[in-house]
Amino acid sequence: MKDKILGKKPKLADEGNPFSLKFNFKENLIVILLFISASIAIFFSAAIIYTLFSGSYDFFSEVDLIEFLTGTIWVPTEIFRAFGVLPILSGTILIAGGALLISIPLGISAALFLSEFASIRLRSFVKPIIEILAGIPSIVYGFFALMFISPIFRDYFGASYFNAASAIIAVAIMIMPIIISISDDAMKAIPNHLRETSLALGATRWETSTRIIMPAASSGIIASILLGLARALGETMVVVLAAGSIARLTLNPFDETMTMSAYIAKVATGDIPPGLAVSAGFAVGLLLFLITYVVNTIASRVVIQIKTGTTVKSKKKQKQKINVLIRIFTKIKEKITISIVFIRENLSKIRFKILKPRPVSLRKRYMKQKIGITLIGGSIIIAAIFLVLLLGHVLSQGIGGINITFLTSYPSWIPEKAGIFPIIIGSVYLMVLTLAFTAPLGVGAAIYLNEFAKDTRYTRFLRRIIQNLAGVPSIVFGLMGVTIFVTLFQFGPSLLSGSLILTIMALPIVVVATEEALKSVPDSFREAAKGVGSTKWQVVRHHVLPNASPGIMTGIILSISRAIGETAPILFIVSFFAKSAPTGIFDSFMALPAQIFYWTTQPKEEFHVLAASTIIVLLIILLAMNTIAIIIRQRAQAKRDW
Amino acid sequence: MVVVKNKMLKTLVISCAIILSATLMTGCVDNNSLTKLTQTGSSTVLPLAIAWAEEFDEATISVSGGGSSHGINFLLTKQADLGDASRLLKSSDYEKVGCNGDSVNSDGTASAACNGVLPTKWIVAYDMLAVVVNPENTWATQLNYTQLYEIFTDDNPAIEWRDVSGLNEIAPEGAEIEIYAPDEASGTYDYFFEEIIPNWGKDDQQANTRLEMKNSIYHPSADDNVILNAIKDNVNAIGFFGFAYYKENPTAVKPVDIAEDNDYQEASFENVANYPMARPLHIYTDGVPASDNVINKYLTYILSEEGQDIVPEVGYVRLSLVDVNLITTQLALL
Repeated sequence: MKDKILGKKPKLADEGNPFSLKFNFKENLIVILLFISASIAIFFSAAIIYTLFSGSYDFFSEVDLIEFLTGTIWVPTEIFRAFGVLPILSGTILIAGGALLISIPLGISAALFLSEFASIRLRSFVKPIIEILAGIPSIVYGFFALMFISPIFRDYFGASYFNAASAIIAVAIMIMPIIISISDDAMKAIPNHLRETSLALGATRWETSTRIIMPAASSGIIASILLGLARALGETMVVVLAAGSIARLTLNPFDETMTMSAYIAKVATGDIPPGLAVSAGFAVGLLLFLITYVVNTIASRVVIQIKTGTTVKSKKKQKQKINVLIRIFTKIKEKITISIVFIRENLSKIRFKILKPRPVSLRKRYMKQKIGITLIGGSIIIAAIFLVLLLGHVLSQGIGGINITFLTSYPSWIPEKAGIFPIIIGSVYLMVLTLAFTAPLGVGAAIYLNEFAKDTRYTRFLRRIIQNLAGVPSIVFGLMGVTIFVTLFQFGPSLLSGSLILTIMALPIVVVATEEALKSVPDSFREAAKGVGSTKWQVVRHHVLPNASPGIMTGIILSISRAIGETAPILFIVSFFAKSAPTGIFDSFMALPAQIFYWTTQPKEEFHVLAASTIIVLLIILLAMNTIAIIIRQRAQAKRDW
Repeated sequence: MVVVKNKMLKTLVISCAIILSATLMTGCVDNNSLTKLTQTGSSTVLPLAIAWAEEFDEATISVSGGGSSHGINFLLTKQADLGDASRLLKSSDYEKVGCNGDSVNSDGTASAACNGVLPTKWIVAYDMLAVVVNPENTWATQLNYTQLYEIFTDDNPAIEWRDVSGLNEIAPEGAEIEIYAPDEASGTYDYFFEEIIPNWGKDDQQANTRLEMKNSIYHPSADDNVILNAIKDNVNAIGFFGFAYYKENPTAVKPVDIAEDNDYQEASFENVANYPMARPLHIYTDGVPASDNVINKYLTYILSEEGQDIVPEVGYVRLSLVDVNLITTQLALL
């Protein structure tokens, strides 16, 4: 008793003293841990660059860089020796650009509709389903594109059997969940008083959502677009299946084409012996990495520009170059910038702007609102049509194959005996391990970047590096994983290696989504908490994090869905046969998407049915995992009163 | 906010429960103390390896894919016990891991070890290549290497079916050739062109493939099922792939009789000894495994009657149909 009282007294005194050493130590330790989790992205990027550099060394020592960058023929074999990257660069631009052209308007309208106009019931039904779309293995999208979309283009537009257009549409559907989900969270997180103020001043709901909410959420929307772009750049399976694999300099969407990431995947997993053709794949990977980095750099400048309305402080020379770009974007974004500045700095100015006499009658404005809502509601319907077609296609093929034997037996080379029990176990393990690594790392990194880091060059660099990881082709993660985790760290082809590879792939989505969620918490919360004497960490822990949890959950759901549906990153380490399920993290493992991939490439029709059934099981597992997270998110969102 | 925190805790508890139950469930099934082997490499050999691994009882073999190069690389770096390859070991495989490429012989064997690993070649089955056309194609029922050369290479290539020598009377007018076949990363592609293009892969290679012309006549795909479907839908199409894909879909496409010169041979398992296009599939090991080694037992099983019975079921050709001596000479080493 005495000890307890004696022990308690100094502690009480400590807590009362905000300058206590002990207190600072804990706080510092946390900040250091957060800093480390943010900086780990540098290690991952370095590992990727090392893999790409060592792989492409032979290529660059033999091929002229200028020839590589400006050549228009791409047949990188010892005999033919044509090393112009432009054909596959044009393919990449065609497919990623085309997909963005479709998914940006559709995705953002859908998000706007869900966030501002949909009933709670519709929203709580539609959003989880859209997020499930993110988890469908890309091979399914590939076959969907080839079997359903491509015939339309072939019959009505004279497209060739393999064509870029069908791949563009499939990739657009693939990246839509990312754009819709993150944009919706960003818009939903705009404090209600902005909406109320705007409506009170006489703006229609349509005007409020397009002129106040969308500009205010622009940083989240742009982040979602960047993530979508990154995914489109890195996509391989859809392109390989639906767009063909001819490297041709063309921007005709009805033509066959090949992307940079598809080339990398092809040579990395093929039978051609090591040599120039394989080395060229790594060189292409390096170039793609640089391109994504440049795109992200420009985009981050634009975001800062939109947010603050000022240029970034940097060295004069850099400034001059970037200013030209910024000026271009400024002109485009002028209106948005104006609204943002108004909201940020001076609410009275909003009143001034909206009260400005308008030549438009009230009736016309409501008309506009009706048309607008119909249009964006329509985009949800278009997204839903895609979804129904895709799910219907999978269900009709595979539902008949699901029964108890299929779920409880082991895989076999005889289709009638084959089941997926150890594969389910392997995938669940993989999912849980990836979650266990990604969630703390990703959320920690985002907290550091958004709450603790000053706006230094290092933090900006970190942000770009993390964004950049999202654009790395999934096969490159696989190659890197083999070089670093399997071989260098001696983890072998194990669950641990697999989940670490998937962690790196999932990380950017968690970090970006979490950062956006943290940004959405009004600064007044932080100030109020600080004002009553909380330390920085206490502010984050008790006030910012709980309020940001819906957005954080979205990021985690999306990233795990994406990671678990991927085949390429784990292609080199996943086992296609096992007599037992894994029991420890160093065991070899099987995974659902890899099995789906293997079975669809087999000649026997029975295996194709097994693959379709396995896809359904994968979707059910995803749905189950997501439901938990979605319930948490919706509870939190319902409680939010700002 | 308390509610939210509790929910988060619950999620954690639930996920832990999932892990635990999964562990427990698997704990009941598993518990054997068999030797563990790893086998990796060619996706062509993969289905065979999976079947053998399942039927072989004396070891737990984890089988993965990733391509022939990956398989050989993992064998040379001691990360796999068995490396599957649909092509032969090349000097560049040695050079990639820092060994002297000169010690690799042209028959895919090595005269000197690399980093303590002496890759040893075992031929385990044959993969027959089928050249296929649309079932409605009545003119191209048999083709020799000269005609294939005219169709598949850039050396004075045939545009219409009529342009192919010997077909100008039979083929319909205006029927333009379209090719659906594997892409350049596949071992099948390499094998096919090695057969029809003289000096393939050497500096004085006689012609390039039509794929390298990139003029939308040769449509490459990495997936043989896709190639099959494309040819099924196009009356003027021709292509080639592993015989297994034809065997499983006998009505979708029609195989062509092939001759190096004039001796046309039907594509069938029974006729493989005479059919000119069949490539060996290999498993590479580190040296000849000692007789008490489980790898030795595994290879013996693969070459046994029982092991070879699986081969045609998967869609490949058993060794005895190609050359009976292949089995006895390889078994003698074990």
